[in-house]
Amino acid sequence: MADGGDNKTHFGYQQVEADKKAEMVADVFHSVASKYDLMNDVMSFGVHRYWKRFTIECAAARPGMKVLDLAGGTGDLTAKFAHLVGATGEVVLADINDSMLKVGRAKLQDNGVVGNVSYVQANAEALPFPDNHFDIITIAFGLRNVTDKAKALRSMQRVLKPGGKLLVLEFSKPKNALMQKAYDFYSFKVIPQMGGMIAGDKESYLYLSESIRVHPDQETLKNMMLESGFDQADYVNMTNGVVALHRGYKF
Amino acid sequence: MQIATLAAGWLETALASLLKFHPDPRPLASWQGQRIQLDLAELKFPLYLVITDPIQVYSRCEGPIDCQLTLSLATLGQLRRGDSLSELIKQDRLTIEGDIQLAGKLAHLLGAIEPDLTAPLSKLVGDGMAYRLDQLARNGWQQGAEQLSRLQRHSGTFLRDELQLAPCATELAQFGQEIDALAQRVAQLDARLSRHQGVE
Repeated sequence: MADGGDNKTHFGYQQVEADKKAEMVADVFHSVASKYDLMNDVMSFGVHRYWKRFTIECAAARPGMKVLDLAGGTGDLTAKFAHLVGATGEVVLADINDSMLKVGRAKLQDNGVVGNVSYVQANAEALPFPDNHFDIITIAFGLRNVTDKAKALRSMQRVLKPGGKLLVLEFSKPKNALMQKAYDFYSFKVIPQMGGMIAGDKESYLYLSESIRVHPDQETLKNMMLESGFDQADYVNMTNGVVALHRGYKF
Repeated sequence: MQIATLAAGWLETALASLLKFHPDPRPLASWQGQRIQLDLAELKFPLYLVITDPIQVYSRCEGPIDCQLTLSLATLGQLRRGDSLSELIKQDRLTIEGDIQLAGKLAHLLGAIEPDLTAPLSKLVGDGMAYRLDQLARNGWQQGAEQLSRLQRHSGTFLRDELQLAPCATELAQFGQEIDALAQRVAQLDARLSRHQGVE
């Protein structure tokens, strides 16, 4: 069942038919793909690099491991993992959106990240991989765009090896009320304007801000991970809870 | 924010920028993902260098480490300037565990970097002004280093000869010899005591 129930789900603040959401999200990312990295730097003042670096360090990838970078977009995490797992390891960059995948593949190939990276266009709800296949799965700023999050988490749990770990990096709920107000102002007044000026698409960035607000908060997502079969699920707040890194293990 | 993660990110960015000034256009071509652990005296956490192209730096790292270096930032600077590894080890300023050749290779890699501010500056202020600013910065750096070195020498002389607070080199050497002689006498005494205890 989709997150909104009755075959309806969230698309930002709108309620839409569940089977239409993937297509609508795809349109957003087709539109922003070419300016995605630039907009990430501008919108987060570069702090997204810190959030991703922290995620990589928590992943504790070793040479020879198999890593799935789900909703990997332009390949920031994949590039780091490819160096860490070495020639004997494997990194799969998966994204539902072919425009993002093309941008990611071009960027990684231009930077010489080749050999142990493969690219798969995949829906997180139905991952096209065998059971118990990956040592590490990461999904950075992608889960909130998935129509049925519980189904996606169960799919990730299936393809993760026993002993493997899932890392979900996602926007979340700030802990401080003042921070929440400042964050709301920035998200709804500043970011869409920036999106309009830099990427020429104000509406897509308004959707991104709205999708963050309807995404489950830290505790809800932690419980969803536990219900999906992950063990020892916990989370680390970053930047006062604007972003949280959720961790879960499969034993 | 985790300071260790930030420091690792800063070092990674700094190394990527500095390696652009390496005379070899592909200075990391011969490296194959070797992992070096840097324990800097000034930091409470280790830094891990995964030597690929570009170099990755992390504050946490899983998997085997090829070489572990324990040193201070000042010693790292000396390594970069080409000081001998064995001399630094003898002086207890550097500890190496693992592949010593990797430490030498890293020192060689860093030592070959010659930062040149002229190229990036010339895009902003033109070639002529960039050259003048570069010369000014180099002269300023050289003069600063000379003045610092002179200040250290004068302070040493003042403390040693005028205030007579610090010992001179010969006094220090004599003191070291006396300590050695004392240690020898204590060892002899200890041996005699052990013998007597054995007889009783």
